Amino acid sequence: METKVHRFRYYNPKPESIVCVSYNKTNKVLALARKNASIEIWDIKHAPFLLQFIPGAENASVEALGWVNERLLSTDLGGALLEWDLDKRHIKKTVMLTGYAAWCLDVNDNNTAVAVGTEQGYVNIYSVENDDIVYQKLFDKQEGRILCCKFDKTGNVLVTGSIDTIRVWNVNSGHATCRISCKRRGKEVIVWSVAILSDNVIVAGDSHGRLSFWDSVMGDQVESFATQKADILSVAISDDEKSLYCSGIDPIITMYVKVDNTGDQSGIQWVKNIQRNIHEHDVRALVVSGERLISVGADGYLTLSSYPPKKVMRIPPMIPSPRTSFCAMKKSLLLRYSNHLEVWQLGSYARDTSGKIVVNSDIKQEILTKKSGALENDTTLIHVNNHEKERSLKVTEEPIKLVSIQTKSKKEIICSEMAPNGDLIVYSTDSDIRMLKLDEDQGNISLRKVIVSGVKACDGIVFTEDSSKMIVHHNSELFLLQVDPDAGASVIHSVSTVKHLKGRPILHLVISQKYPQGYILAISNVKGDISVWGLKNKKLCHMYNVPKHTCVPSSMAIIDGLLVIVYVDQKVIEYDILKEAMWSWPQHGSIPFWTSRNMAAKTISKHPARNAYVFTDEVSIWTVEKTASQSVEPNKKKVPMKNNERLGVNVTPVKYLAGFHWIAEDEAVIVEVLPENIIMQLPPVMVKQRHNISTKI
Amino acid sequence: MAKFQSYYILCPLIDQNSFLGVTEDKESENVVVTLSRNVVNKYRLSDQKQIGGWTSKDHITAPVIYDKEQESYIGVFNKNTIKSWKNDDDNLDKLKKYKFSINILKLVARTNDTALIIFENGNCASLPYGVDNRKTYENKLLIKESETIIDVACCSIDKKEYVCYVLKNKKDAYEILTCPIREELGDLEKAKLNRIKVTRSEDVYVVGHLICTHSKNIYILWSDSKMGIYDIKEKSWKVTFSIPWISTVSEVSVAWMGDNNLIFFGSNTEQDGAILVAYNVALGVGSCKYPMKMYTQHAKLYCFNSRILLQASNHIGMLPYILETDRNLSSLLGSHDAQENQTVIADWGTSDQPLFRISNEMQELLLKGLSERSIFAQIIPSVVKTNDFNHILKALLEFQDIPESNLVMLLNYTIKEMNVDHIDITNEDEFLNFCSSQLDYSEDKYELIPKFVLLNHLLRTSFSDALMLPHLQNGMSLDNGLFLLSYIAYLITETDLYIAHESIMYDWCTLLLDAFYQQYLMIKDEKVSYVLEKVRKIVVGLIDNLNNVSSVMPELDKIINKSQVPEEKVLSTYTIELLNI
Repeated sequence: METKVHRFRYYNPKPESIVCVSYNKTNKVLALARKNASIEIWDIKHAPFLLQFIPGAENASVEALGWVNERLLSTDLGGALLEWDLDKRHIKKTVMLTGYAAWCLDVNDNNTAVAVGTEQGYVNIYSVENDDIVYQKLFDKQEGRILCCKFDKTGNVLVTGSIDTIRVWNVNSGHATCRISCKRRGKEVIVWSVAILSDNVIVAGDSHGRLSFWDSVMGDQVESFATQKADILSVAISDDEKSLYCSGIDPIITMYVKVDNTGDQSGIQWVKNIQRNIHEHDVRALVVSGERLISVGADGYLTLSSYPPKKVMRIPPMIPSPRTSFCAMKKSLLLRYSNHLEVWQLGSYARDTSGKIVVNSDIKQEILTKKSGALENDTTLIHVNNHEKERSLKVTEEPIKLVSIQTKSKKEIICSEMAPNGDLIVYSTDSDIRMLKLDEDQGNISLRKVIVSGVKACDGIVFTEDSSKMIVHHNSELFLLQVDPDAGASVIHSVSTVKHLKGRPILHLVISQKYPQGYILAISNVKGDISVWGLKNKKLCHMYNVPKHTCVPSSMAIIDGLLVIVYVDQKVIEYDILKEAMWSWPQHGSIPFWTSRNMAAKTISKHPARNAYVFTDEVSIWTVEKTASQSVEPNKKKVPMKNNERLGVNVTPVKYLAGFHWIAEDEAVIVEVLPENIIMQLPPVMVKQRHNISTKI
Repeated sequence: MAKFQSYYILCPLIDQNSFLGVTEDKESENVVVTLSRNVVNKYRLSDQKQIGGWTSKDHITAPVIYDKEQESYIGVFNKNTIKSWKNDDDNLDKLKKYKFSINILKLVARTNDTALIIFENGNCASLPYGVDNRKTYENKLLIKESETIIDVACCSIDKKEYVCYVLKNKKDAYEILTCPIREELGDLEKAKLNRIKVTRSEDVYVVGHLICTHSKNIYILWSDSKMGIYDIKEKSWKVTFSIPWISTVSEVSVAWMGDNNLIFFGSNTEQDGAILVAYNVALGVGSCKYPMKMYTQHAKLYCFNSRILLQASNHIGMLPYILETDRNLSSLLGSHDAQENQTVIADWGTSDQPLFRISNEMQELLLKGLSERSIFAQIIPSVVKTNDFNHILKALLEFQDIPESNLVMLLNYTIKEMNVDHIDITNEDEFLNFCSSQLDYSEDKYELIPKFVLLNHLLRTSFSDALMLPHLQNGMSLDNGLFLLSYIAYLITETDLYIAHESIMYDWCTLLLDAFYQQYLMIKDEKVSYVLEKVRKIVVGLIDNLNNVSSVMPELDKIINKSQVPEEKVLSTYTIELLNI
C-alpha cells in the first residue's frame, strides 16, 4: 500500500558556517565551531554522529579549537583560552592571554603544552598537564598578529605564520631561530596556514593562493606551487606525511603527494596529484582522518571525502536532532530553530465525491542537469525501491503556521517537545525551561504560559502517552513531573542516574507505550551506556543496564516490548525488556545493502501497516521487513532491484530529511530541507572564470 | 539604392565554354548549376555548400531546370531528348527518355505553370503537351534560317502568357519577337505574333539585352551606352537611358536585380578590367558599381535570392547585394551626368500645371516661387483672424509642410478657443467628459466639435521636434502644455489611433515633457504631478503590454510547433505524494 507523504519544506533554519575544527586522533572525535560560537562534537569513527552540542552565546566567537586528550580547549577574539566542561556544556576554566585577540591554537603531540598566537604578536605557551592550565612562557614579541601556529612532532619547535613572515621558534628558549620573509614583489602576503613535517620542512599556504615549502633551518624556499586561484586557508598533512591537502577561498581541494626519486633526501619532491571540486564556498579547515579527508567551511556542511576510492559524503548543517515533534491527532508539527520554535498545521489533500483521493495527472519528470565544472555529487547510496513515477495529490489546504515562539532572551534551544495531545509545548535553553499551552478558540490561536516548578533546565524531555506526565533529564538526574495545563507542572519524583550513567550528558531518552505495569524508559549517554528504567506508581526505578557496545547508539526506540537500538557502526540490536535477552537483528542473515550505509540512523519507528522497522537518516528512509527471508546475498553492484519484495528492503531517498513522523497507517510527514534552500541562505562565493564567462554562483 | 557586399566564389568552372547556366531550385536559397555537358550540381547560396548533384553520360545541352509543377528536375540531352528526375534519383542514365523529332533549344521554367519547351525553330510547347506529341510535333520554321535565337523568356501580362525572343541575324541585326501562347498547350498564337526590328542609326550596335519577366520589358543596350526599353504589352519603345561607368564597346551582360534595378557586367571604361554596375531604371541613375579584375565576353549573369551570380573566367562568383527603397538624395548627387547631345525627351503625358487646386490667395505667392512653408506662414495669420475653424482646417489641409512656429501658434489658439481654463484636468471624470464631447452632437456641445477636429488635425501634422522645441518653450504656457499632455494621454488610452498617428502622439509626449522639463521640476503643483503620474502609468502599462506580447510569442511558437513545453520542475514548498515506504 502506498503511503500519502506530506512533504513539508517550510523548515529552513539558517545554516551556520563552520569556522574551525580540531580532530582528536586517539578517540576519533571531531570538535567543530560554527560562526554563532556553538561547538559540536562529532564521533567519526563510524558513521559521523553528533555526540554533543554546546550552544553559542551572543557576541561570542570561537577562533580555534584544540584537544588535550579528552579535554577541549578553545580561543576567542576576547583574548582568552577556555577549557570546556563537556559534561555540563559550559566553560570550565578561563585563562586570560597576553596580546588580546587569539587567532590560533596548537597542542603538542605529547599533550603537555598549548601554544596560542595573538593579535599583538605574542606567542603564549601554557602547560596543560595534570588537568590544569598553567602559564609557562611568553615568546619574544613579534611584529603583527600571529595567524597560525604549529608544533613539530617533538614539541620543541613551533612554527608561526603572520603577515609577510614565517617564524621558527625554539620552544624551550622562547627565541626565534629563523625568520622567513615571504613578501613577494613588495606585495603583502598573509600566511594563513602552516604545517611542519618531520624532516623540518615547513608547508605554508598564503593569501596569494601559493603553497610553498621551506627549509626550517636555513629559511630557504624549497618549492612553491600556485594552483589555487585565491587564498589558501588550510593545509592538512596525512599521518604518514606522504600526501597533503590544501584549500581555501578557492574551494578546490588540491592534493599533493611526496615523490621520492632517488632515495636520498635531495630527491624528495612534492607534486600536485588530484583536485577535488566538492565545495562551492570557502573551505576553512581540512583534517585528514586515515583514508578520509574532512573538509569544512562557509557552507556549514561537514564533508567527508576519500580518494581512492573517490567518494563524497556531505552532512548538511542542521539543528541537532530531535528537531521536530508531531501530534498526529491534530496534525500539528513543532519545528525547532536555533532560538525559536514554530508550530504548523499540516495541509490536506482532496478527495472526490466517492471518497477516493485525487491524484494529479501531471507526472513530474526530474531533469538532471550536469553542468561542466559542477560540484561532485554525493556518492549515491544504493537505490532499492520500486521506483514508480511520483504521483502527487491535489492539495486542498496549504499548511498554516499557527505560532512562532521566541526563546527567553534569545538563547539557543537545547531541546524541545510537544505533548502527544498537541496542547503543550516544552523547550529548554541551558538556563531555563518553559512550558506553553496552545489554546485554540474558534480559529484564534493563543499561547499561555504554564509554570514549571522543581526543575531549572533540561537536556531531554519525554511525555507519557496520555500527556499527563513528563520526564526530563538534567545534570544526571531524572525528574518526573505531573502536568496539568491549568495548575502547572511540578516535580513529583526525582532520581539520580549518576550510578548507572557515569554522569555524562545523555544522547537519547525514549519512553514506551503504556503497559499494564506502567511505562518503560531507556536512556543512553555519550559514552554508549544504556540503562532501562521503569515508571510505575509515580516512581522511577532503575531496572538494569543494557550490555555496552563498542560505540554509541545513534538511535533507540521501544517497540512492542523490545528495545531496538541502532549503533553508529550500523549494528542493530533487539533487547527484550521483560526477558532481559538481547540479539542482533535480524537474527538470521543480514539486511541487504545495510552495510553500505554511511549515515547514522536518526530515528527508528515501526511501520504502522506492516511488520517492518523504518529507519531514517538525513538522506533516506529505510524500511526493513521483519518477516522477509533475509538469506539473500546482497548484490554488490548498484543495480536497482526490481524484486525488492524478496529482499524486504525499501529505500526512499530524501534530501535532506529533517524529520519523519507517521500520521496514520498510510500517511506520514517528511520535513525536508532542500539543498537549494541551504545554498540560498549562504553568502556569495568567489567569482570563477568559466569558459570566459564570469559567473557568480 | 543598391549596395554590394563582398564577392566570393560559389564553385569553380570546369570549362568556361561548356557552362550552360544557373537556374532556380525548389528552395529559393538553392540553385541548380549546369556546370558542363555532363555535370549538374546543386548549391546552397548561404554557405556555398554543394547539397546535391548528378552526372550524365549523355550530353546536356540546356540548363537543367526545376519544374515546380511536376516537382522534378528536367534536362535536355543531346538536343532532342528530355529526361526528368526527382531529387533522390542518382543515376540519370537509367531514366526514361522522351525523344523529340526536332531539336530543343532550352527549357523555360514558369512560376505558376509547367515548364515550356522552346524548340530551335522558334516554336514552343508546354512540357506535358510537348512530351505527349513528341513524335508528331513538327512545326513550320518560325524564324528564318539566317536567324538565331539568342535569348528567350516567358512572362505573363494580364494573365496572358507571352513568349519573347531576341533574335539575331547574320548581319548582327536584332529583332524582338513576342507572341502570346495558348494555355495548356503552350504553343504560339501565331495570329498575334509580333515582330519588331531593333534599329537605330547606323553607327551604333547592340551590346547587351535582357528580357525582364518582372517589369515585362526588354532592355536593349547600345554601343553608345544608351539603353532602350521595349514594353512587351504596349509594343512600344518607352524611354532611353544612358548607362554610366561601363564601356559599351564590347558585350555587356544584363540581369534584373529587382526593385527597378538592373545589373550590368562589362568591361570598364578604361577597358583594362571589368565592372559590375547597378542601375536604377526608375530614377535613371547608376546606384552602385563594383570593380572586377577580368572581363569575360558573353558572361552569364543572374540574380537569385539577393545575390548576383556571375560566370567569371574560371569560376562562378557570387556577390550579395542589398536594395534599399529609400531614396537618399546624397546617393543621387553627381551620378546624373548631363548629356549634351541629342537628349531624348520622354513623354510624361502630363501638363505643366500644378497637380493641386490652389486658392486665389495662394496664386500670387505661388508665382513668386515661395516654398510651402513660407506661403503657409504668410497666409495663416489672416486665416486665423477669420475665426472660422472650418476655414482654418481647410487651409491646413492644403499644406503638408507647416512651420513649427505656426503649429504652436495654432495649438495655442485652438486651446484658447476651447476655453479649457474652467476644466480641471486633475478631475478625471470632468476631463473625460470634456474630451468625449467631441463625439457628442448635442446642441450645447456642438460648437466644440470643429475645435476638436482642428486640434486632432494639428496633433497629426508631422513636424521636426528639434525645431519645435524652442517654439514650445517660448510660445506655450505650462497650463496649455499640461492640457495637451492630458489630452494626448486621453487619445492614447481612450481612442483607437492608427499606428502612424499613435507614434506621433508619443513624439508629442516626449516633446512636451522635454519642453516643460524645468517647470515640472521647479513647480510643486499637484496638477503637474498628477499629469506626470498619469503619463507614467500609461507608459508603464504600455511597457507591460509589450513585455506580455513578447513573452507570449515564444509560447505561441512552441504551441504551433507542438514542441512540448518543458514543465518547470515544481519544487513547491508543500506537496503530498504517494510513496512506497
